[in-house]
Amino acid sequence: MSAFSHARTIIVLCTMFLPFHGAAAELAAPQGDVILTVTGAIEQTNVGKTAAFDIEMLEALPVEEISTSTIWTDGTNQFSGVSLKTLLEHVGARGNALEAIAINDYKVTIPIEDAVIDGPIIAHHLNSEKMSVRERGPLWIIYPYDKHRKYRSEVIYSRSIWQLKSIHVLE
Amino acid sequence: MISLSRPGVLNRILFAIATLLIVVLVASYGYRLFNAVTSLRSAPHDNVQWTLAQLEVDLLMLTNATLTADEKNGALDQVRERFDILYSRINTLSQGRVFAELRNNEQVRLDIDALDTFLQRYVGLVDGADDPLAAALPEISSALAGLRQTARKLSLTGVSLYAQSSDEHRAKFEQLLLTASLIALALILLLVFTLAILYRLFRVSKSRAEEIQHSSTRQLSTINASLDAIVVINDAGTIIEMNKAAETVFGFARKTAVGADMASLLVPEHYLEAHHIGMSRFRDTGEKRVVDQGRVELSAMRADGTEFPVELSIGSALDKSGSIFIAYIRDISQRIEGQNALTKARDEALAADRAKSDFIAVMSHEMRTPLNGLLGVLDLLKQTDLVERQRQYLNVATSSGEILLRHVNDVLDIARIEVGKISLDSHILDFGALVAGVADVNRPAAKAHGVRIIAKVKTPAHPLAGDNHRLRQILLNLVGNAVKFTPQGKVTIGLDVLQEFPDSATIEMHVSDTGIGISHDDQSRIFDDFVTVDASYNRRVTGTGLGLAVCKRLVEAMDGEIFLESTPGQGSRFSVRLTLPHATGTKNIQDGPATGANDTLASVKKLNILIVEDNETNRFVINEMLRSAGHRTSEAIDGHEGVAMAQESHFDLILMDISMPGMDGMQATKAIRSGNGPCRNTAIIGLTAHVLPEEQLQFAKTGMQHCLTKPIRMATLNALLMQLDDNDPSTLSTGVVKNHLEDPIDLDVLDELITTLSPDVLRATLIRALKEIDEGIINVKILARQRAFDALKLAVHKIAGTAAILGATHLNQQLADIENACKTGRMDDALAAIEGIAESADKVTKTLEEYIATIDED
Repeated sequence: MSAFSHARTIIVLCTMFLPFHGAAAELAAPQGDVILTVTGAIEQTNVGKTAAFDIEMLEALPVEEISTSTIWTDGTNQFSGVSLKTLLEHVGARGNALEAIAINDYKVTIPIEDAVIDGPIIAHHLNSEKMSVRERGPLWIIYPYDKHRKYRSEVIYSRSIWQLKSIHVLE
Repeated sequence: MISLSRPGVLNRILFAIATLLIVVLVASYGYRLFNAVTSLRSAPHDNVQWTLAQLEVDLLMLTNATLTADEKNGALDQVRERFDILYSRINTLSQGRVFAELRNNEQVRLDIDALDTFLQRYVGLVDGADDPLAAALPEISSALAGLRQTARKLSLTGVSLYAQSSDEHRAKFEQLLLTASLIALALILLLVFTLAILYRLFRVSKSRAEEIQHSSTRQLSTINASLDAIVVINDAGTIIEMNKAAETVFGFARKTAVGADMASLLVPEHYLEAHHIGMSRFRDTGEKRVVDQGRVELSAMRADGTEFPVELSIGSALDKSGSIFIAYIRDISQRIEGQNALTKARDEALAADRAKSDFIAVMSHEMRTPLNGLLGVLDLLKQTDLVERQRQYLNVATSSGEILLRHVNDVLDIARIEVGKISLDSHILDFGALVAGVADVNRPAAKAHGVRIIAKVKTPAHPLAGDNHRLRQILLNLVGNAVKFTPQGKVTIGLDVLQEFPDSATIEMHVSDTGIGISHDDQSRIFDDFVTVDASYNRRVTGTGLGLAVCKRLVEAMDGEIFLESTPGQGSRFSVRLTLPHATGTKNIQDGPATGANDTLASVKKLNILIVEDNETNRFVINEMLRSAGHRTSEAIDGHEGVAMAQESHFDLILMDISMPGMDGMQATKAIRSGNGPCRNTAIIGLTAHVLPEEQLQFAKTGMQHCLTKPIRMATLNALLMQLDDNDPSTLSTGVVKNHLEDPIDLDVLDELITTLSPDVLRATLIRALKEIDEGIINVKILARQRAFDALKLAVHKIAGTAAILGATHLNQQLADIENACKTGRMDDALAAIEGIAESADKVTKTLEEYIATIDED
């Protein structure tokens, strides 16, 4: 175990000496309230071994929009946020699966394969408005349900975690 | 058995409709099943159950938060968060699409409303300042306690409702599955059925394929077993297939030949152009000159380039790629070789036969010349003083010579007919004269052994035309034979008209005898060459056995038929049937000089005669004949000399040989006629070995008056000279010279009576005549004794008349002499002659009695 930790340290050090390496920029420290914490097998960290995000940091990331209906809401709504894939790349995630945890302690495992272009996003806006906890905010993993049948299954619904607060990248 | 080849149109439509129905049914159920499965896939039931269960949890968590908030500072944020979570949960329940069904339940709606009411009541406090919230915590807590039952109830109702709904869904799905299964089952059955049909079809087609395989194997073995080469080509001329025989015949391996151009492989170079023309003609016009035309003989080429004859038969058929031609080719080299050898052998045999015929003809011809000399000299010898014994020897020698001559003539005739030199003339025929002439010629021989010749001629209504000479030859032969083979009795020559046609008539000439007859076995070969029958009898008769063969050939040349009916011991009857055309012209030819006439030379005017003849013997014989008759003669040894002598002095007659070296007889005649010499109008008589009708015409054209056939006989020559004496030389011709002075009765005259009188009348006439002669002779004798010359003269004259009617020429002559003697007062001569007439009259009486007896027989 100590050898493994040692190797990881070296990797972290390497990334520190190569500030512009890869797609991800140097991860700045969060200024506001942390609304998302990414832990586990990631290369970019800003608070200890975690990557912590406030709303501004998330909003600064490339915004993607999904216009879809959901089983939990009425009618078609426009969700916008950061693509799960983009976020994982941003933190240099190297794992096979994600363990997503909600404020209400709901926990679900999302395979890394789900994080694709035009796949799920971590929505922070609903119809251009920030989402409150009462509206299942502030972060909600939204799949493009209307876009493809494969996204309309019980499993996908269960992965559509709202009131998201942290992601643990499993190796 | 399923009809594969011609399914009905109705069947096809029904099948299509059924298939369409099944497809629609399957598609519709498939679609419904798919939808059901999709909805099952996306049915978020678990999520709903989870949410309902979480509602209770969230409620408890908030309650917990409110209860613990008293003890800890800052725990209000915890309350707020739990409130928000509960808020979001209830919000989801009241708005979420998945809960719509749940919300349809009245109780559920009321429960949600109750929960919502709670949220609305305290949301202000939660969002407000800390103190009022902290103050309200006990209240919120108790309110939550009140709601716990509601949440519980809601959860349970949800479970029950969803269970119910799930059951319904399951039932529906089950129904759907069942229907789909049934359809699937039906489909499977249909598939099984189709499979069965397909299997059946497969079996059928497999057995057919096997059948075709067998049949094609059979066909292949048939084709390969064929001894003839079989080559199949397409219409581009490419070889598609060939059999083993073709490999052997042409010397090509099948591998090399198939796919190659047939023409360049099998057609000899010099036939290529014709072949290509033929092929392109067929392609352009479809005209087939060789194809489907049966057997054709052509040449073909082997692999080594040698050409060989083939017999070819080409059939055509339509293949999927167009016309194909199937050629059956037989190598006929050997056959052709055989044929050629056969043809060569035949030609050689024919040539040899022709050489033989030619040899015979030449030999016969060469034999005739010395024979002519012999016979001429014998004739001359008769004129000299001879003792009786010498005369007998001379007669034997003469008749032997004549027989030999006849044989030579027969052989020559056969030879001529064989080489096709016979040609038929056509003249108006006088059947009466023809038959009479033949009868006359044969009478002396017949009389020698007591045979009488009777002629019965029926004249056709319209004169007919034919070759008189040849008909005479036929009749002479038949009658000669009849006389020869009839030891005693009679020979009848008849001519009947069998049928009259508008422009022709069928006649039958028949010769019947009462002779020895011909055995049945001999009858079939009697007309063959060199056949003599009855060896025992043969001693007494002579013959080459060619006579009948000549007759048959002549009759056949005239498109006629010759028959024989014979009974051994009773006689034979030969019949010749000919269909002759009606005579249209007026040309008439008279008979040639008859043989058998009196050999003694009558006293004629002495003439100055020129003989032009290259053959020394002939010249000598003719010269002697003429000189012995008291004529003056001059000789020329060829045409030139003849013309020169005719130019110098006048002759009363010129005898001109036809064939001479240098200038021949016709050229010489022309020269004399066209010149202005003293012989310009002198009668010229041609001398020839053989006369053909067209030659005779040619001789006449050159200016000859007549033509004599060698051998020249005294009698013939004498008859001709007598005519010359009587007539103007320019109209000279020969006729039948009749002289039957030796005969008691000229049977011709009697035979003529038979044809004109009925047998009864004839018989009565003859008996009366007989009586008149008998009585007249007695009367004459009495009158002679009484020397009543005037009465005698009248009596003699009367008997002479009767004798003339009967044809008793000799008696008639004797009576005429007596009459003359009476007239001139030579009484002693008359009395002496009367002694002679008694004998003659006896003969006449005897002959007549015999004759009457034959009439009775008939």
